[in-house]
Amino acid sequence: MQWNPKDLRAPETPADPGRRTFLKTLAAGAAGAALLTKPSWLRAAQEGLSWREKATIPRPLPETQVRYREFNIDVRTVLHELLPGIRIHLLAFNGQVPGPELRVREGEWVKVNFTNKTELLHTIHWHGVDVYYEHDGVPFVTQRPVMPGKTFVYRFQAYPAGTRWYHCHYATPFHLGHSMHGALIIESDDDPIKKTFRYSRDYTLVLETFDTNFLKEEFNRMLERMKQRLWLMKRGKLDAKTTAVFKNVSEFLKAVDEGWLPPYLPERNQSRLGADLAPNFFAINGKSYPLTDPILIRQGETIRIRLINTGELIHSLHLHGHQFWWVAQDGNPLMQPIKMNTLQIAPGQTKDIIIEGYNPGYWTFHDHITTRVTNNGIYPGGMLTLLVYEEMAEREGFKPMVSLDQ
Amino acid sequence: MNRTFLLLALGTFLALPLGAQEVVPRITLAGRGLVSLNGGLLDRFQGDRWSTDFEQMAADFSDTHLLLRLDRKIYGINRNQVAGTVLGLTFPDAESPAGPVYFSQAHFFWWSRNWEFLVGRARLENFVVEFPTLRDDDLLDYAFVRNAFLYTEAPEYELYGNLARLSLYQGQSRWQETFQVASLTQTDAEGRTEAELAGIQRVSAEVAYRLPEPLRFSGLFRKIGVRLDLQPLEDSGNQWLSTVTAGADINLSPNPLANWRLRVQAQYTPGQDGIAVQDLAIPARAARARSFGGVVSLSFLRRPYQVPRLLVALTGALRSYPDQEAWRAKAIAGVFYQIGAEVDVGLQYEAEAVSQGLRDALGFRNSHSLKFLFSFEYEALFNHYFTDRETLLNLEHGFAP
Ligand SMILES: [Cu+2]
Repeated sequence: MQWNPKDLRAPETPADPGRRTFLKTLAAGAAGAALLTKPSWLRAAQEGLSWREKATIPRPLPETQVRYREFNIDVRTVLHELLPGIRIHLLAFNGQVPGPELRVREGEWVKVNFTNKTELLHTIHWHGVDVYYEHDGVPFVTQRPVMPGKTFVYRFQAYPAGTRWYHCHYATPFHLGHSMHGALIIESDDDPIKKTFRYSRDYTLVLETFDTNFLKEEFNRMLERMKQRLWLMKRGKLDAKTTAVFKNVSEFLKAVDEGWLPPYLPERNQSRLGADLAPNFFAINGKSYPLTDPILIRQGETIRIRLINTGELIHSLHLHGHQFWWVAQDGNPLMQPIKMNTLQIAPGQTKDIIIEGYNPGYWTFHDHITTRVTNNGIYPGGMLTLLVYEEMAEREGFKPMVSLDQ
Repeated sequence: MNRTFLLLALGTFLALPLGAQEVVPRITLAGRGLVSLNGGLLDRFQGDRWSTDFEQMAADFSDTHLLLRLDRKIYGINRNQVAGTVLGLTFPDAESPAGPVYFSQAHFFWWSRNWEFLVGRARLENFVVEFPTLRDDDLLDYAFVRNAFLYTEAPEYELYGNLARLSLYQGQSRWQETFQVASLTQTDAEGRTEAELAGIQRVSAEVAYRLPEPLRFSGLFRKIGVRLDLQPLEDSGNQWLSTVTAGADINLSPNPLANWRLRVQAQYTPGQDGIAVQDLAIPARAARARSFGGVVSLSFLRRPYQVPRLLVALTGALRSYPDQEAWRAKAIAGVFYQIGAEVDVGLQYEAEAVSQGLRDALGFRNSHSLKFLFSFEYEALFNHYFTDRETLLNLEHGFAP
């Protein structure tokens, strides 16, 4: 199966000569073989090879054998301002909300020195990346969590290409709901999306949801508990029953037989987690509307937007005034781009879209589950940004205002 | 809509002059149901001889209380101030003049990062250290600054008053200075209220180094402080009755799973002259006499897996009246076991002895009592849209309640 260039045409706007030129360019490209490059996974499948053209994912190689691309990432507690007057304590990679965007080349060896500068435990999970299992960052399953003040080195070969991401996997609903998430973009010269659409700008939109009340409450609870555990740990007095970490299921069952009370018992605990989390702020790249960054485009320009849903909710993203192309899911190119204007994205998913600039103006791009287009219940706000044609600055017409309460 | 209903139902009482926008407050419902079965031996003087009597077992639910706290963030971008109100009821002893239900709390409060202001009915905080006893008033004669205007036994009038209090905090809230003026309930010998809560009967100041609650296992001194309480005695030529109290609450072992704690407090009142030993049975007279009070308590808290289970406490207290050559002493041993989250059963043994001169005044020379405790404590938060002042995040990572 091949991507058919006929399907790749956006609706024509004959009144707009700029648009024609753009289509001509696209058509000229279509004549070349490069435009119709098969998604690499498809080519590999047809040729009877796995993604990586290798049977297994190797253990990371020593630094004497390969050159690593090195990143330093830490986690700190920051007081982040979502909006004026809405400051929340967040766990944040390098103090940034979201964490820094990492861009690497497909096949490149990556080394991440991860330092824990908090009093809680963390890991980094490389979401959607085929890493050697001991670098997958799942605490107690593939590694011990990274203790306060300690550094863990993650190594992996960047595969496969596409929009991927990373996040903490310790106390995931809580740490992820903080800001322990960031984009990992694996670039490839063989990217069919790039070859087909020849986009000039590439945006990443990290979608976030915050239950600020729960985050505060839970953060304090965890810090208090951990402060005591760190004291015990330094003196060798921290046992399995206190941390609720056992070697295996039979050790756990043995502890229960001995009278240990598992923390999930209703007589011990009534955490709000899972019961009635009530996200009250929704953000794109760490900011809620009207502080979200606009997406800039020019007439005739094609842009790529990488959407990463780091939150716990499904979003239904709608772009006004345009049909866009959905081109990849979870980093992997679709067999066929799909034309749409409203895209669902579930927790953990990444989806890439291509927007062609054929309708100059100011266009909202937002979650169409509109209760998320709110700030603390007040509409509009939250998960909303604008697609802004840069040339509109010099044109006549209505200019967007900022409304905070309708 | 609710407010409309209330306004209609209650007339104009609730109509604030500024009008009202409905912002649902944070709601905290807290309290404790506490019942003890008390039995005891009292060695009392009857006619011409001392006899030991068994006091019949009785159920005592005093100290049971109910608290309702309502609070809100006040206007301002990142102002981070909270104001609210507390309404509290306690259920006094059967013989207390405070009646079947006492409004122990009815105050307005307002706080920010480095200060806390409170005005209205509240706990007096007439001590530096709190001791691990079954009830608040178990050490009333030993650990508290007494009400110098009370001519009958009424623990509620000793522990609560109408007051205005300002507390200042520095150094991640580890340093605290408190200034308080209070009106106390004054009664006659029959417990009739003579002058209730008018004027100023006490002026207090305290300086303390203390660990905020979430850091309670993170240091040697949970609290070390000194306070001065002054009570103007208008009926005694405008003298000021002063009391100096110093105390320390020490983590002998800060182990959060097995915490040993030593609490000490010493109190000195220079007092007035001319108080006869037999008058020391009257709270106001005892408060005004020259006296020294000392309390020492050793306790052990077992918190396996960070869940509190067992508290064992041994406390000794002495109050001496050097001018009257009198003293009284009390020992309290308690074992409290948590059978569920904040559900306690326990046992407290108390022994008290009084000196020769004081025996006639108090009517006993020694007493023993045993109390079986059943206690249920609770705190439920609703609409929890900001946090308290002293959370770890607010203390250590920037103030944003
Ligand atoms: Cu984490």
